[in-house]
Amino acid sequence: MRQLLKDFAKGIWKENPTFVLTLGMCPTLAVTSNALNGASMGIATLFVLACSNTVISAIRKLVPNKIRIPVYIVVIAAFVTIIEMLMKAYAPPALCESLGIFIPLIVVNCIVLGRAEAFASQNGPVRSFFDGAGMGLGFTLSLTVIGALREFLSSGSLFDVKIITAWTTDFLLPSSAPGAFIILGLLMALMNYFNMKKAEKSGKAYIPPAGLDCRHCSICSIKEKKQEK
Amino acid sequence: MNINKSENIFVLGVILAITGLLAALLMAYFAKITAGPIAEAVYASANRSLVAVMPPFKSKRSIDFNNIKFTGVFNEENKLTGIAGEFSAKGYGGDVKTLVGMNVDGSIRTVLILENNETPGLGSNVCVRKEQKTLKTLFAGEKKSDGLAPNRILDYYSGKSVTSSAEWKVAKDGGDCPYITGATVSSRAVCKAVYHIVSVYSANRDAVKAELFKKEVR
Repeated sequence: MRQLLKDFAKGIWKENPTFVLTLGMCPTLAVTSNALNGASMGIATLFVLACSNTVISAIRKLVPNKIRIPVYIVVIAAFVTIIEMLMKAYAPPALCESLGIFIPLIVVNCIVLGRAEAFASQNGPVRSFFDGAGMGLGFTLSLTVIGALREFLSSGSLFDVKIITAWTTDFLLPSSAPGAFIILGLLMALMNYFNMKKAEKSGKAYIPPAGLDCRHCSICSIKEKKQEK
Repeated sequence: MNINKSENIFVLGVILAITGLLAALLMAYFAKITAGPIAEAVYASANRSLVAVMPPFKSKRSIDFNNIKFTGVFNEENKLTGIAGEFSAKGYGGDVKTLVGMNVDGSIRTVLILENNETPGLGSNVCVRKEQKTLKTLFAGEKKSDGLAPNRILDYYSGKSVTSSAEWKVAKDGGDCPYITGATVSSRAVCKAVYHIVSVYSANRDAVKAELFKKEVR
């Protein structure tokens, strides 16, 4: 039970697919122009991740090593097609239109295949389900946060509801792709900062995720501070 | 035999085929249960814009006339009750696809922009009809009003018809049509498209009607 909880929880913060693993950047930047789109994209991915992880883990002993990738892709593609049909049938048309091509593209989302390879092919179905659901939830939360920030900064509204009525003119930067990059970067930095503070408190040395840390950058003083210790 | 380490090409092929078959069966099942709702949704989205600009109708017929797509709508007695014209004019970021709903006499009922690529938050304000929800309306529990949300530029045209030979222009170019500062190009595109549709229909009213009645009812 504790193991399951751990599998589930790691996707939300410790191994967050967007901010820590930096996977699935294409939908992250493309559909997060508002909070609702981000959340819907995340939920669609969550469904695919949880289902494909469970099925792949259940059939992992029946699939020969040589053809495991094509089999995984078939499984993932089947679930993506199903959710696409369900969305076309029951989701609001405006939502389908704005998510558009990014729903079929979940098939090639690195998070889904990545979890199939790294987790589901080595663990049981129950653990794999919780891993997929946790990763999907982490992805959903990240996309919703980015989407909400972009929407709020560009037009003062959240989930299509105008919070600040006096905000009459749209601020274009956050709603465009460069703005998405900047916000993504700031959120990653914030997450690293929290993790660093936490590690400092407990007296451990903080090791940032590969490629997202001070070893690759020399702009600020955090690096030197760390070396002094 | 350990299936996991199998290298036999036939075993691999069969396993891949079985996987494909099972996936296809699963998808076929879902395709079957969603076929109805999807067809309904597609039909509704094709008709939604027409319903918004036209009086309630029973059937419709479409023709192409001078690059304008005219759609006539008919009531139960097969009487023509309205004409919608669709035309694209060049805006700032591409085509502004405009739909104008007209009464049979050529006066405008409603203008709706079907597609636009204008600058979000600037040119798009000319084109988009969108109900703005605020915290106040949310907590007051106000019902969403029926029909289209207002738009100052698009609503200006309602009730207008071609009376003289002078072409319609936005106020900045010496005409009467309204425009939004900073989005003159988009406003001009809307004005041009609306005028083109209305003027062509007014000049060729009988020809358009005759063509419509020749068409199959859909």
